[in-house]
Amino acid sequence: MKMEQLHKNKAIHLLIYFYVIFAGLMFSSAAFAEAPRSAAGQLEAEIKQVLERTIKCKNIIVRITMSKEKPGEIKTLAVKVEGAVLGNMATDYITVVCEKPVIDFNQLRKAKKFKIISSSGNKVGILVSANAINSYIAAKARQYHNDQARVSVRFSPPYAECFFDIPVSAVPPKTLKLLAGYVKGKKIEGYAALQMQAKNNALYALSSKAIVNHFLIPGAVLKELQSTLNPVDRVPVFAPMRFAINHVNVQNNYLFLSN
Amino acid sequence: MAAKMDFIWTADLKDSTELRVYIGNKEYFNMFHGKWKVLSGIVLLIIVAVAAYVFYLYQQGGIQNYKPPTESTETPQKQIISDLTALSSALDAYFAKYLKYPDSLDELKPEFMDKIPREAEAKAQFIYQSDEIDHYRITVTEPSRYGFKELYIENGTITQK
Repeated sequence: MKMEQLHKNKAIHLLIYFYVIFAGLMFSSAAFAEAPRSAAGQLEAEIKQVLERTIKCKNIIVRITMSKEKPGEIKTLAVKVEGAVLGNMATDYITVVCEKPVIDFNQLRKAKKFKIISSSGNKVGILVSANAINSYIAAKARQYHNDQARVSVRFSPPYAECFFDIPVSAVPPKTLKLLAGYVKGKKIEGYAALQMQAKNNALYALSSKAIVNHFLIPGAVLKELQSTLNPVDRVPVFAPMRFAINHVNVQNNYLFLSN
Repeated sequence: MAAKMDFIWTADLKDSTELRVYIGNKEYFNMFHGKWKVLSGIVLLIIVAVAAYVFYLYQQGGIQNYKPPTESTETPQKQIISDLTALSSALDAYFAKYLKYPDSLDELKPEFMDKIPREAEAKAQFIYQSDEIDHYRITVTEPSRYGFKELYIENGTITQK
């Protein structure tokens, strides 16, 4: 009877023993998995804090994914900046994704500066809404004291449609010379369907159709106008990351610029 | 002596309409006759063509024409490449906004695309795969219809074999 009781107790002890070991293992493996994530989280917060000091915007999101193959190596670093002003233009979203970035931790922690020493590749996406473009144009018009100029943009993929009503005095002389035959009164009023292109941060607007003061502008004049007006603008480089915009895509709600 | 210039239109049923110009009593120019016949015909033709062109430009410039030019139809092969590129660009734009790829292509509507294109020939839906984090692939179900063995776009890079 005693022996039986002893065996029973031993079996219970053994079960408890195994349970403790199993639970310990489970806990430690979970903790190991959590460690890089929390380190990444800490780094995300550090970068966000530094970027918020240098970039005027509504919000910044930093997301780091660690490499599963090489512990401690950053697989991707994504930075999303909401409502930032890029040059003169208010953008809705700027997202930069760096693959295998090497971050200058010295600069980050001591000088509170965010710098990427190298990366195996990066992907940039900038979204600009029609509202942002319209506000930008209105601000430019105010800057040049052309309050009567009315220009609005609407997206109809693959075209950006532009409606304008501009006083002749606000039109550059070169453009006015080309449009001389179509200007009768004091205003240039009309429409243009534009296709956008980009090369090394320079933005080009190619017009497939333009109407000025009730006249459809012939192709030859359009070509001359394009060469006079282009590039229409330049995309300023987003300070902490170097990039070159080489693609523009007109989408339903946004103008999408990418590298 | 001052030159007198008279423009005389004469019309009769036998002959064609004529335009004669007299200086004094001398007939100086008779349209549709002699050496002027060809030249005046050409000039008239040019004037009519220019007027018609100006009229066309004016007629095409009405507010009802404030719309983008209609896209010309492309070959199925060009169309499918263009659709894949447009989808890929919309996915990248989605990522730029949400920091992830969508679960399905339908999520691109209406913010980034009006409608999701279907395969030009097969009229089937494209096959979309994504890990949501940093990878996507759109595959054509029947690439042979477009003259390819394989046709897909992966993270913005198109593969056509």
